[in-house]
Amino acid sequence: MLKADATATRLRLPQRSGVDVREESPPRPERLLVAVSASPTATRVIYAAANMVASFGFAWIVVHVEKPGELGPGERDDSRLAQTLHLAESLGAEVVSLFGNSTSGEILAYARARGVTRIVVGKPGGSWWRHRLLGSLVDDLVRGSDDIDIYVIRGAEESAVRRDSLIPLTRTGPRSAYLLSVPVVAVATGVASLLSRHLVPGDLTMIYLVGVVFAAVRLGPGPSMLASILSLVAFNFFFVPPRYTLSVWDSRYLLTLAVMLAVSALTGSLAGRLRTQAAAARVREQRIASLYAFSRECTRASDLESVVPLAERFIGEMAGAEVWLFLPNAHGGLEPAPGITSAFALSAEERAAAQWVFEHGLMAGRGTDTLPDLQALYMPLVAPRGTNAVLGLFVEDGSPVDPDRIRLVQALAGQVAIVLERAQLAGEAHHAQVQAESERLRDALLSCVSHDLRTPLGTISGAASSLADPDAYVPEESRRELAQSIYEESERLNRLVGNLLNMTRIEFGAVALQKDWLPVEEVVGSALTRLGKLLRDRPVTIRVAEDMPMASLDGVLIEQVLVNLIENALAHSPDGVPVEIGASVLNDRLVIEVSDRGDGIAAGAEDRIFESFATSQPQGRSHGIGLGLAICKGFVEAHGGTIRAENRPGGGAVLRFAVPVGDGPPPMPSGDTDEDEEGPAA
Amino acid sequence: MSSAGKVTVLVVEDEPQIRRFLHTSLAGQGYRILETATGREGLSMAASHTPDLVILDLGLPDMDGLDIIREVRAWGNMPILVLTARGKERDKVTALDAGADDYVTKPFGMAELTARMRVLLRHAATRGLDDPSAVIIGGLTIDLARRAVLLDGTRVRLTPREYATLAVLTRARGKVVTHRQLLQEVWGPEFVEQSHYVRIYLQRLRSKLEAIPARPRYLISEPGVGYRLVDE
Repeated sequence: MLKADATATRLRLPQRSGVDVREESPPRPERLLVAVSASPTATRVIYAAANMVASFGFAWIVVHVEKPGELGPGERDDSRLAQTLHLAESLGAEVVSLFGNSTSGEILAYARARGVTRIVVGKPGGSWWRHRLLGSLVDDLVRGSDDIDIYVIRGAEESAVRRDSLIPLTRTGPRSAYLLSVPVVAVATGVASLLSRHLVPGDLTMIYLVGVVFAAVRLGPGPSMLASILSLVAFNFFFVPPRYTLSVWDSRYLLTLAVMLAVSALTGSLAGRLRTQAAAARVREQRIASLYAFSRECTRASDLESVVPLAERFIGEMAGAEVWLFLPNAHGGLEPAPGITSAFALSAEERAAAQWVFEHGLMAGRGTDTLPDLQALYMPLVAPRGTNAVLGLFVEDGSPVDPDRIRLVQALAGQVAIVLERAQLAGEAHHAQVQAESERLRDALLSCVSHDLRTPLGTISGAASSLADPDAYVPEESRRELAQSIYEESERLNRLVGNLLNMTRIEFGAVALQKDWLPVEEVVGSALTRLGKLLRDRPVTIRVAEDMPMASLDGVLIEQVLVNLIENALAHSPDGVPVEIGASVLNDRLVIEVSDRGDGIAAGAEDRIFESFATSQPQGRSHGIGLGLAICKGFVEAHGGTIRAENRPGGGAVLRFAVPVGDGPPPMPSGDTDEDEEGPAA
Repeated sequence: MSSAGKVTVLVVEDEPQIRRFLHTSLAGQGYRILETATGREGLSMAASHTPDLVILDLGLPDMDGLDIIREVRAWGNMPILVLTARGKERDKVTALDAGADDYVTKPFGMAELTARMRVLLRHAATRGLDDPSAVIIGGLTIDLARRAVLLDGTRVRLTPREYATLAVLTRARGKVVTHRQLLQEVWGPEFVEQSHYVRIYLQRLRSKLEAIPARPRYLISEPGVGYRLVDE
């Protein structure tokens, strides 16, 4: 188990009696409260607390206090706070927002009400004197905590990084901004000297004020204050008699200076805030655009194979780092997603860290407090059903991990987690469907073997045993009948086995076409020849269009399709009623149809009859095992064709399939076509 | 025919049940039966007993049926009837092109088997003799000597190649002729892959000779293998 947080400071108030009270009373169930603000250090506090919670098995609550009348936090802070709270929620914390004037008071009151035993807060940033002056949350909490332990988590360095790297206070560097205040004052002095003949010296200060405001807006409050002082000095030197000396100092100008300083501070901070917000808005806009692009791509990618590279590429671009996804394998171990080509070698330690992150659902590695020496930052991808992958963020050595980037990656990671989960669910659903289908097939196969195959076998063995019995007297005529039924039933058995074999070939995708250029009439003819005895005296009408081109077909398979279709027609229409076979070419497709005048197809069953083991006949009058038409479908589809059934006007059904005709056979050499009819020699 | 007057048939088949049923049925019809379960023994028995006909199962465990056919054909021309399973059209064609005379698909009835055997034995008996002057099958008369074809007494006009195709089938009547064999004899060895030539000609022949071309009475197609002119 990794340590919760090596730098966590544990402050424990001394008990009044000097004896730990909890040693006497039965131990309370431990409950941890984490107080967070919109500060960027809050995530660090959350992670540290989560590690503690994971280590000790506490229940935990994350609390945020909103103050009434507080100058509304920027949107940036709002979204950061939302992210922080979301993170806490995803790590299993209960998230609560409180409302009140005193942050520490609200926290302590709530903590008592909920029986909290420990409170975790972030170590405040900001300067020492400010804390002295305004007090800090930590001090207030410690003062009022009584028997609740207070833990303070470090986080200052992170905020320093953020301030430097993300939104600079001014567009130019601070030092050059101070230098720039000099020309501003110089220009103001120039303008004032032009107007000095028309204005009294007191009014000239207004011109300097314009310069100060300009400096405040463009350069910030500090340079502006410098400009105020310089302005006053310049004013005194150039315009207050005796001119070109600083000798006279009127107390009136003290007020002028104060006004100028106040204007500098106010304007500068307002302008600074505006700039900050504008910059933040730009950054936010960019991120929203990339998030939008990412989510749009994600909706298109539905399977793991396409999501993984997409996520790696997108997040990598956004974070400016190399991104690896680690997915769990069948044994619960974690493997880098396939296809990664990387400059970073994956050591056993890195793998172990990724595994730990996967198992605990917490971040680790670079930029965190857990194993910060690793090459990469590991982040769990947490979806509603749990952690489903780990994201590794590989940053070049030496460059810091920008916490703002981390938060962005976290937001993306959440989305990736959901997409991954969706892909997994889709895969599972598909698997389940396949499973159900194969179970249905298996059941159907078993019932087929037990019923349809046994029926002819029963006849055969019964008839054969009577013939073989030396004691039984069987008249010659009956012997012949028995032998005949043995023969017929074995033929039927042969067809059933043939169908099962064909179906197996189709199910295993083992249908290899051996195409030849065939005249359609010949295929129809050989199917009828093969049906032979089954046709008995059934009239068959054949309508083959004139000038049918040859079609590129596997003759054996298409013959089987026709045999099955004709058998189906024979089985579903009464004796003596003709079966019709038609062939034509429509839009480069050979269309062959077999029609009967039977009972037709039940409404809605037009597609179902082509499924395996679907028989439209009730049990007991089985004409096969419902494989014939499924085989037709399989063989026709192997030809790139389609098959469908419909009822005919006037009763009966028509089963029709269409397959591509092909481009026509290579022509016969002209010398070989004997166009000139030559009567054989007499 | 063997000297004793009885026709000797060698059965090479590894399934004892099928051997038994063939033995019983064929002996009952007056054939003398030799049988073996292996290809090796089959080859030596074929050499030592010179049977009138060989019934050869293509799926023997010890030897490839094709090798047996080729070895037998290296020294003898006794008819070979192969037994194969459905769906193995390629095997049938290679066996026929390697020198087998005809095939029967398992499972088969005795009537079918003995009909095939009779055809093969008759062809073997008339081998080397002149073509019969006229072959009459139902209403179809093919006069090979006069190169004339009559349907129900009426002369049918055929092109030379149509006639050549029909003549090949007539000489082998009752026996299957593969596409390759037909192409070889009618068109020449360079066209043996162009099986659609044969199909086109058979289609033309059927339209001239058959009442309903889609339900042929004389010119039967064996899908994936070849054609057969019926014998009776």
